[in-house]
Amino acid sequence: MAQVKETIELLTKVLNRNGTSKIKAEIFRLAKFNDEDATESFWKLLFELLYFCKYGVIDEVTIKAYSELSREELAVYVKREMQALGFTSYAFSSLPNDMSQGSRELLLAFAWLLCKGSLIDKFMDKCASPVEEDLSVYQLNNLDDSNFNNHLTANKPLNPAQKVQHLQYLNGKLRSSLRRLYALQQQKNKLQHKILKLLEKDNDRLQCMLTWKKQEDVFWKWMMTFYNIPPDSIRLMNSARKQLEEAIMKYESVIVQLEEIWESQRDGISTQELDYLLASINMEISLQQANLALDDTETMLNHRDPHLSYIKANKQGKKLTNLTEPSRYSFESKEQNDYGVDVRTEISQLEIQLQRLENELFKKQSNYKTELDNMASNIPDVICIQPMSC
Amino acid sequence: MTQSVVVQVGQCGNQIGCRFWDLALREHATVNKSGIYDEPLSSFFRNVDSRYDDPADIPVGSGKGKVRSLKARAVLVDMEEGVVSDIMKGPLKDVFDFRQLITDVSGSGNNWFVTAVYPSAEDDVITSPYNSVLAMRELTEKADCVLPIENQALVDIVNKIGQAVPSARTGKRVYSSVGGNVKTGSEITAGDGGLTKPSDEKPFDSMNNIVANLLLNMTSSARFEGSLNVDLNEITMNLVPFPKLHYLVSSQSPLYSLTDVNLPPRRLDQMFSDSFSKDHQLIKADPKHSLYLACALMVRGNVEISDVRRNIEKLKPNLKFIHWNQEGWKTGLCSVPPVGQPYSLLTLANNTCVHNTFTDLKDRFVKLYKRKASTCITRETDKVLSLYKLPRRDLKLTFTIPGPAQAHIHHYTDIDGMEVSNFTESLESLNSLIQEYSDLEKQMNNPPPAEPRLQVLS
Amino acid sequence: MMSVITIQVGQCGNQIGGQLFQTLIDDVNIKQSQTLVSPFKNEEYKEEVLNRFFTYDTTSSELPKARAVMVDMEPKVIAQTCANAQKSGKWLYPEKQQFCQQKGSGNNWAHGYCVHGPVAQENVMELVQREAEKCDNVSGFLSLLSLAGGTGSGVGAFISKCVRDEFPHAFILNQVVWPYHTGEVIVQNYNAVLTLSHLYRTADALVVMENDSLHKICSQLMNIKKISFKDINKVICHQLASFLQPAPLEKFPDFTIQNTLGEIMDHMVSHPDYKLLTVKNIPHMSEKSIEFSTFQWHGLLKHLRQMLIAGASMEEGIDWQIQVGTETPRGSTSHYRSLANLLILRGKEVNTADTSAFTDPNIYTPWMPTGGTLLQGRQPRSFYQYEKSAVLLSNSRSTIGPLNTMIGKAWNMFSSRAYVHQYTKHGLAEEDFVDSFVTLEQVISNYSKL
Repeated sequence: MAQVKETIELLTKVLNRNGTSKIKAEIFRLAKFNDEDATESFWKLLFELLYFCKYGVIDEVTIKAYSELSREELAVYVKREMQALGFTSYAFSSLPNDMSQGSRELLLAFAWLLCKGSLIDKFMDKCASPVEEDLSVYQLNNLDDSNFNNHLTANKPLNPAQKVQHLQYLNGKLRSSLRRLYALQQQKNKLQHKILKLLEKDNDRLQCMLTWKKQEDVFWKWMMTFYNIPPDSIRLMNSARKQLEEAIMKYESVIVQLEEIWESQRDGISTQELDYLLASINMEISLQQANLALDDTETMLNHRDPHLSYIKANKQGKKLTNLTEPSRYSFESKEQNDYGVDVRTEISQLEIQLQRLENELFKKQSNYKTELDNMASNIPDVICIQPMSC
Repeated sequence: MTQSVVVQVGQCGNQIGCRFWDLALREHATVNKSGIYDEPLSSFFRNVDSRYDDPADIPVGSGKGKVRSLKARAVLVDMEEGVVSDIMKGPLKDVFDFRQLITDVSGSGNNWFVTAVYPSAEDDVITSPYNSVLAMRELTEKADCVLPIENQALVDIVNKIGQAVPSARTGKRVYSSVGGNVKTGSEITAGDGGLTKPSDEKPFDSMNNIVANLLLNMTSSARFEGSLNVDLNEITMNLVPFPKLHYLVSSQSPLYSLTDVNLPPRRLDQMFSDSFSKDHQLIKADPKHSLYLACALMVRGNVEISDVRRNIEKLKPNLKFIHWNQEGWKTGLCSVPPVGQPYSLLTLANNTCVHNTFTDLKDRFVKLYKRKASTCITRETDKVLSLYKLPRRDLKLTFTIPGPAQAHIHHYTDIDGMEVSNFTESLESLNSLIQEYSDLEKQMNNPPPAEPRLQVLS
Repeated sequence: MMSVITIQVGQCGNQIGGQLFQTLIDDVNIKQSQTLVSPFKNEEYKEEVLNRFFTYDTTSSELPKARAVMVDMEPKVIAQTCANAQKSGKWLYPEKQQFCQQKGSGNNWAHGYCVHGPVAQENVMELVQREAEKCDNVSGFLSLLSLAGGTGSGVGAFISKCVRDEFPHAFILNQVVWPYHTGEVIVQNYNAVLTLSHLYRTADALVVMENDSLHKICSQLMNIKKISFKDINKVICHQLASFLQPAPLEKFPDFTIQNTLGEIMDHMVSHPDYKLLTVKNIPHMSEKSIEFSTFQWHGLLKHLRQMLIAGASMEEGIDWQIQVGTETPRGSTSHYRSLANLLILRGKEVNTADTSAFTDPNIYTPWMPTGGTLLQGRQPRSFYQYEKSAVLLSNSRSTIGPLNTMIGKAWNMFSSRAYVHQYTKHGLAEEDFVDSFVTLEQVISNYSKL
C-alpha cells in the first residue's frame, strides 16, 4: 500500500515538474472511489495535460485560461480533446459538465491519456531543449601578428623621460586589457551559471521520470484493481473477441452473398422464399448462439442478434442493406434469460416486417400491372403479358 | 527640501514674524491653489490634524494630501505675554499652535539666522545701546549669520513709497532691540500683528512688511522650485568667509509695502541697478565705497542665468571686491515670483561698510558706560532727603564711591547671571569685530602680495 | 551587451541625467527616413542603445527604464526629473532607485564628502548593486556631477570612491560640469579643487565640460537668446550621446568592435597621469536650421582638426593662425598636442570621409606609439537629425587652461584662509586642502609637458 502511495506521489511529482498544478496522491485514492472531492482536481489535471499535448507547453497562458473559462466550457473542451485523441468512453462523455462528479471516470481517462498519449515521452523530449538565450559571442579573428608589432612601439627615438612615459603608457594599456578580460570572464561566468541552472532543472526532471519508469508497474497494477477482474479474464476476453470477429466476418460474407442474390433475384422472389430465407438465417443464428452459450457459461458475455433490417427501397430500386454491428460488449452482468426474450421479439419483428413487405409487393405489383395495361392500350399492336407470379 | 523653524523673539520679532507668516500664507495660496500640502509648504508649515486632542502632525508623504490645518513652524518667544497673546487673539491665531509659545529661550540652533532690528541714533530708551551691544556679542559668537536692519532705513524706504500712498504715516519712530539674556526694556508703540485692512494700517506695519518680504525672498528658493536652488545653508556658506564676519547688508528691489503691490513692474536690468542703490538698502551704510567680501543675488521669477550674468558684468566695474574674491557672486534662481510681481531681486552683501554702523553703536555704548556717577548719586541723595523731609540745599554730603560708577548698570546686574564683566567682554568683542572689518577694508587699495603657487619639481 | 550604469548626483547631475536619457531616446526615435540606413540596421542600432542604457523587456509592453541611480540631498530636483521622464511617455526611471535626504549640502564640499557621503554610502551602494545585477554585463559607470555645488561635488566624489572600492575592475567615467567662472557659487573654486583631486585618484577618466564654452555654443551657434540651464544641459547631453551611442570602431584593419566604455577608456586614458578628456562636437545647430544645412566631410573635419590643435571648443572663432609646428628646444609646441583621440563619424558617406589629417604624428606627443593615438569609428546610421556629424573625444593639453586659472583663484583665496572655517567645521583639515592643490599642480605640470 505504501509503495502505491509512493509511486503515485512520484507520478504527481513528475507531472508537477513539467508544469501541471500540484496534486496530492490522496486525490488519486479518492478518485478510485468516485469521491466528489477529487473531481475538480482531475478536470484541471486533464485540461492541463491536454493543453500540453496540443501546444507542447504548460505556462501561464494555460493557468490564465483555466481560471477564465467557465466550468462547462472547460469540461466540454476536455471531452472534445479526449475524443479527438481517440478516447471514446461513453461514461466519460456523459459526465455532467458542471464538474460535480465522476472522478473515477476522470481517473480512468487520465490513465488512458498517460499511456496512450505517451506523456512521459513527450515530457522527456522537452527536456533536452537547448538554452534559448541569444549569447553574444566575442570572436577574435586570427589577428595578424604584424599588427601588434606596429601598434605599440614608439615611432622615434626617445629621451629617457619620454621612455618612462611610454612605459607607463604600456603598463596602463596592460592593466586596462586585464580589466576588460576580467569583465569578459565575469560575463562568461554569469552565462555559464545560467546554463548550469537550466541544465540542472532538466536533469532533475529527467531523473524523476527515470524513477517513474522503473516504478510504473505499481501504478498500473493499482489501476487494474478497479475492476476486480479475475486474472485469466483477459485471456478470455481476447479469445471471445477473436471469436466475435470471426463470426462477424462470416456474417459479413453471408450478407454480401444475400445482397447479391437479392439484387439478381429481387423480381423473382416470392414471399415463401423470403420466409424460407429468414427462417434459415434465424436457425443459423440460434445455432451459433447456442454454441457460444455452451462455451462461456460463466462469462458475462451478452450479445444481441445481428439485427437485420431492410430499408425500403426507393422507386429506382436501389437497395441498401444495413447491418448494425452487435452493440459493444459490456461488462455488466446480465441475466441469461434475456437471451431468449430477444430472439422471440426479433422473430415477431421480422414477421411484421415481412407482412409489410408483402403488402408493398402486392401494391407494387398491382401498380405495375395497371401501368403496363395503360402502356399497352396507348400503343397499338401491343399486348401485355402478365408476369407469372400474379 | 530643508525644513526651517522660525523663532520670533520679543515684541518686535513677533510682530515682524506675523507679517512674515501672513505674507507667506498669501504667497503659498497663490501658488498652491488646490490646497495640497506639498513639499514647498512643508518647509515652513506643518500639516496638522486638529481633530485629535493632541494635534498630530501629518507628514508630506506622497505629496498629495490636502492641507488640513496649517501650523507654522515657528516658535514665539517673549518675556511678556502681551504681544503674544494679542497675536493669538488676532486673525492669525489658527496658524500658531499654543504649544509653540514659550517664554524661556534655550537656544542651540544648527544655523542661527538672525534678523536683528537695530536702534537708530535718537531713541527714547536710554539703555538701548547696552541691549544692543550685549546682544551683539551673543550674535557674533553664536549666530551663523545676521542681517542687521535699521529702523531709520526702513522709515526712509516707507516714506519713499509713501508718497504715492496717503495713509502712510511718517515721523513716528519705532525702536526695539533683540532680547538676549536680558529683560527687554524696550517700548513699542502699539498695534497688533495680523491681517489688517488698508484702513487699519499702522506706521510700522509697512516697515515690518518690508522686513517680512525680505524673509520671504530669502527663503523662496528653499520653498519653491527653480533652476538654481539656494537654501539658507548655502547663503551662509557663500557669504561668510570668516566666522565672525557674518553681518550682511540686505537690499531689495522692487520695494514693497502692504498695499503697494500695484507699483509698475521695473525693467529687469533696472531692478538690478536699483538693488545696488542706497535707497533700497535696509541698513544705513555705503557699500559702494567700501570693500565687498561677497555678494549674493537671490532672483525670483522669470529670469534666466544669462540675464543675471549680463547684469553682473555691468555692475562689477563699479564695485570693489576683495582681491581673493574678485568673482565673489552667488546666484539663486527661483521660478516662482512674488505675489503681484513678475520678478524680484534680493541682494545680500557681506561688506566692510558695516563696521561704520558698529562703530556708532560702540560710541553710544561707551558714552553711556563712562557717564560719571554724579547724576546717579544725585538722584539717590534726593530720595534719601525726601524721606527725611530735608531740603536739598542744606545737605553737604559727599559720597565716595570706589571707581567710576556706570549709569544704570544695576538694572542689569540685579539679575542673576549678569555681571559687570559681561559688559566689558561685550565691548571687547565688538571692538575686535570692528577691527577685523577695518583691516580687511584697508586691503581695498593695496592688496597684499599673492602667495606663490606650489611648484612641482621636474 | 555592454551596459552602462549612470549615477546622477546633485542638482546639476540629476538634471543632466534626465536630459541625457531623453536625448538618447529621441535619437532612437527619429524618423526612419532620417536614419539613412535600412530599417533592419536601424532596429539593430535601437536595440543596442536600449540594451546599453535601459532595462528593456521586449515581451512586455512596459516602457524602457533607465539604468540609473539618483542621489541628492534634497528631494525637489529628483522629483522633478522623474516627473519629466514620465511626461515624455517614452521612458521612465526605475522605481526605488533614488536616494535623497532633506537637508541639502549648502554648497559645502566638506559637508557633502565628510558628512552626507558616509551616511548615504550603504543605501546608495545597494542601489548601485541592484542596478548592476539587472545587467548581464556591466561595461562601466557614468557619473554625472557638477564641480561647484556641495552635493554633486562632495557626495559625488565620495560615491565615486565607493564605487571604485566595490567594483575595482570596472571602468568609471566621470562627467564633470565646470561652472561659469563668475556668478554661480562663491566657493566654487574650492569645491572644484577638492572634487577634481579626489576624482583623479578614483576615476578612470574625467570628461570636462565648461559652462562658459557651452554658453557660447548656445548663443553663437544655436542663436538662443535667453539661455537657460536647460539649454546648456541639452548641449552637454548632445555631446555625451555623440560618443556614447553605438559605433563600430576600427581597432585594427578589417577588425571592428563596438564602442563600449571599456574600449573607449582603454584607448583614451591608459596612462594613469592623464585623465582629463574634452568633447568637441561638430556641427551644432538650432533645430530649425538642421534641415536646411548640408555639409561636406572635408569641411567638417578640417574645422574639427583646427579646433583640436588650437584648443577651441566650437566651430566658430577658431584661431586659424595656430599651425602644427615643430618642437622648440625645450620640447614644447605652439599648438596643443594630444595624447590620444577618439574620432567618430556618423551619417551619410562615412566610409568615404578622409581622416588622415588626424593621424599626423606631429599633433601627438612623441612618446605615444602610432597605433595608440587615433581610434576611429564610423557609424552609417545618422545621429539625431544631423545628416553628417562628427565627435572628437580628446585627451590633450588644451584642457589645463581653465584648470590653471581655477587653481590660481582657489589658491589666492586659500592664502587668506577665507571660508576655510566652513570646511573645517565639517571634518576637513587644512592639510587636505593642501594635498588637493598638490595633486592638481602635478596634473597641470604633467599636461604642460605634452
